[in-house]
Amino acid sequence: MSGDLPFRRHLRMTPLHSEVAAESRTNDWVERNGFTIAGHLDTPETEVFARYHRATLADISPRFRYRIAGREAMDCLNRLVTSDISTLEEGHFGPVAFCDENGQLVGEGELARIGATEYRLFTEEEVLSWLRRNSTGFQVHAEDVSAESAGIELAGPLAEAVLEEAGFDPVRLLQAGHAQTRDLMGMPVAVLRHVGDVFEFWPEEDDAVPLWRHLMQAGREAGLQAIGERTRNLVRIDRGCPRMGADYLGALSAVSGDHVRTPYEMPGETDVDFGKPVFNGRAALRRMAVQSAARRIVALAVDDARDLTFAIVCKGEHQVGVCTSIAFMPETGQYLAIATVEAAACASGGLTVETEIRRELAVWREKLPARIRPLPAKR
Amino acid sequence: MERHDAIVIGAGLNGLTAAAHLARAGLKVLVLDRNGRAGGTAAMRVIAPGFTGPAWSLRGAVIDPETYAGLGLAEAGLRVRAVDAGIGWLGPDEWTASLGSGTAQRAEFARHAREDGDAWRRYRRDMLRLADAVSPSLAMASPQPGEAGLAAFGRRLGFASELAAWPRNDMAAKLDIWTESIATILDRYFTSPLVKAHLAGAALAGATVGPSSPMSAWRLLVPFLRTGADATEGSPRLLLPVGGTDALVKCLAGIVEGAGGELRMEAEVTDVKLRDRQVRGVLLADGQEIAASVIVSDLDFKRTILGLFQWKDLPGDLVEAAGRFRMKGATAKLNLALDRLPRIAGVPRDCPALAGGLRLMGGLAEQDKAHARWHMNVVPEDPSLSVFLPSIVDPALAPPGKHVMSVLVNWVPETPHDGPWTDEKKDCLTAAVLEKLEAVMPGLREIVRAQETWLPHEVENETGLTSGDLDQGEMTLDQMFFNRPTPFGAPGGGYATPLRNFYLCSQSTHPGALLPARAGANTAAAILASMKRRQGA
Ligand SMILES: Cc1cc2nc3c(=O)[nH]c(=O)nc-3n(C[C@H](O)[C@H](O)[C@H](O)COP(=O)(O)OP(=O)(O)OC[C@H]3O[C@@H](n4cnc5c(N)ncnc54)[C@H](O)[C@@H]3O)c2cc1C
Repeated sequence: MSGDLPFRRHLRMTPLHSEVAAESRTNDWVERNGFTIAGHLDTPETEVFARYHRATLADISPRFRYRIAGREAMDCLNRLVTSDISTLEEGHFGPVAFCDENGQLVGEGELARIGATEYRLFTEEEVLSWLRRNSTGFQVHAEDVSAESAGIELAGPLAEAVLEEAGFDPVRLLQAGHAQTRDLMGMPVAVLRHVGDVFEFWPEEDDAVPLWRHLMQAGREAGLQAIGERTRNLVRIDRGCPRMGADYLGALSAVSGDHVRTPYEMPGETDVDFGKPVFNGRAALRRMAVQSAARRIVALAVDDARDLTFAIVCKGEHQVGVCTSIAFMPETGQYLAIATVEAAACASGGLTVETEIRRELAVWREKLPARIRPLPAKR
Repeated sequence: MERHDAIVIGAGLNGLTAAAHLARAGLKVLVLDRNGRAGGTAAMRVIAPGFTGPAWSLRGAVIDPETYAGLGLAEAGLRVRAVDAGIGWLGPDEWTASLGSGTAQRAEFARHAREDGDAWRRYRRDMLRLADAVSPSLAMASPQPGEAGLAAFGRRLGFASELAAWPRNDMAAKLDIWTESIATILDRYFTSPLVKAHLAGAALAGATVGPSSPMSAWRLLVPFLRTGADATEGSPRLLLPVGGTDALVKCLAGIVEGAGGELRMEAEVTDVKLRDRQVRGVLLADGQEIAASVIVSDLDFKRTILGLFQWKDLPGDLVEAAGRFRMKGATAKLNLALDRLPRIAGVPRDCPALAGGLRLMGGLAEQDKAHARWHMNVVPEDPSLSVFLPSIVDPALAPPGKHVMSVLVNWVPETPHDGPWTDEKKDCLTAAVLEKLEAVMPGLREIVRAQETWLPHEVENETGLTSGDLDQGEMTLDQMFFNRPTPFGAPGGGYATPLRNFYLCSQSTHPGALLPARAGANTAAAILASMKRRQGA
């Protein structure tokens, strides 16, 4: 057991590590939730093209998974999340957000209903002690099951074709928003289908490699490409989805109160259902609902393809915000960003970003115009 | 007569830090110390030829960067190492570590209780929030008394402007940290008894309280108060000077000398010369008199007032306040020279936290029991130990492959209930410590090449520290902040005294053990501010 003492290896490898490493032309690795995962496996252009025009496969094992089960699982969860999950049917999943008593987001993720009294919660950050503290008094048990499975994401317009080739028709026919456990090649695999042709597979740890190989094989014709975290991050920024830990901090870990967010500062609609008599943060959220938020998380675009970095968002001479996630989109030749911006400054345009531009050893500053991008429908 | 801009009595870390800041501001400073080696209670000692370690303290100097800001220690040659903050050991299968990496720290605590990994984030967040709130009041003279009520108390602790902004539940936590016990606070976050014992043990080295004592919780905050504590998502690391206290002393002395000042060792001050309640100079044991415009004492409050003055020359309430100031010794010290690195049962050699030390203090209940026995002046039979191996951090402190072990024995009475310390009682204590070490590090006895034991009164004899109290005055609210050492009511808080041009800079002044050597920096700031005011007037 001393072999896996935490100080020995600050970063762990996912069950798919060696499979993914075999696909890597770059040997580029990044850290995610204590795991090493691929940054880019191929050139950014190749990966991005595959993601938007063909199909891609990615290792998403580092997400946290919690099993929440018990007679009062639904009541307990309904107390935790802002939306009403009593209508969530078995075999379905949906986005959830949960707040502390001050209405600040503690976590966000997807909640899947596995059975009448059993749920799976997928999150970006660890929330086990918070789940347990908040389930006191309920007939429910929460446990971290992250180590029991591995995650594979199949995405892109040809994803269905890959599934057909793989002989996974039941998965191909799954509707968006459904979460079901399927028998695939004799292995029990939890499958989730998101809108926009994104499938998540959660096989047991030992089944991950055979499943990955089978999908890679089946996708050969369709041009299935393994991709890394950087491209997935670009897709996220393109969709305008903020990530906890990058674009805002969870209320349990932020030292400064400036870096936490309420559901009302998020882009799109976070579902807050005041029809529920009791849930965490209700009173605080009720007060917020009638005010307008002072700042917003928005998606920005900067139309420039030079080698540049930026963070500060200005209007005229004044700083009005900060970019927290930035990625270059090779297919449009622009930088895409997620930024927190003063709500008042969002209205009438005229935003700029303060960039540092590099050419060989020369570095200079330029203010470039930035546009707020309209967002596609959430998830 | 010999004359200087300022005299600092005592070359402890606070004295030297004050002297260096004054020298950097252009003053000619004379530092006097009765010992042959500077560093005071943090000083190092040759334990056996080739083996050097902290003599009286567990680790010697720990660096807080802000305390030394502006002195140019890096240019003066100081190099520091950041190390993980230690291991708590209850048994070969029952130990845990403080790790600087956030993911590693969470995984380490989760090894003992699944939810404690994620609890660490909340604990760290709350400690850093509290540290942010108190930090302004650590920087300079503590705010003045005179207001009553909770709000005023909050204001004095330096977080008035935030009181309105923070949610109510957080405000409660801010006051709790000054009033509650360590055990109460830890129970709010963690479930594993081992994790709790580990964090409590780290906080209780040298303490006169136990984990269940009211007003002990602030000790948990100490590691988070050092500048840069938020640099990692794991446990704040310890910044230790390469070469130990000696290396820091050398740099500080160099700064004083570089500005035309002087560090004079084996020069004991016996009297501070007063005229009209204004200090004029000092008298040395050899009869020499030296004059200065400003005199700063790095001796503890009691010894300064009761030992350096003729009582009849002082305001009566000052003598009384010094008499009442509570100082209690609670530690003995063992120094060992070892032929090799001992093996610690169950702990792999490559655990990086070992560089920060090892706590052999048992669970919370055992810690409370050890504290209760200390209260009854019982010599511990199962001693509670804080262990540090300086030669892991800096191998040059021992011959190649060999090691120095510094052992702080916690909760040792100043005077046993059955009469003063005797050689026999001292030998009993030493034997009990070695037995405990042997149980944790099998084979240790065979590799001990030299050893020495120092009891509280012996530390007092060597360092001049009243009762051998490493905190230099109990750190309870009535002796903290604007009350430390006593509310003088003069501008400059507890650093200036009712005696003109006479200042205190030791750990007996604010912020005391909250941030070692910060008091010295603050005193220099108070002196320079007062000189500026006078020049302006
Ligand atoms: C358990 C414990 C562990 C600690 N560990 C650390 C640590 O790891 N790192 C750290 O930085 N601090 C540590 N401390 C604090 C540390 O021991 C000192 O308190 C700190 O170094 C500041 O001391 P000082 O300069 O105020 O006074 P002292 O260190 O007490 O200095 C006073 C000096 O005055 C001299 N002196 C006495 N009488 C006379 C006289 N009549 N004439 C001339 N000179 C005289 C003495 O020789 C001495 O050098 C620890 C405290 C505790 C409780």
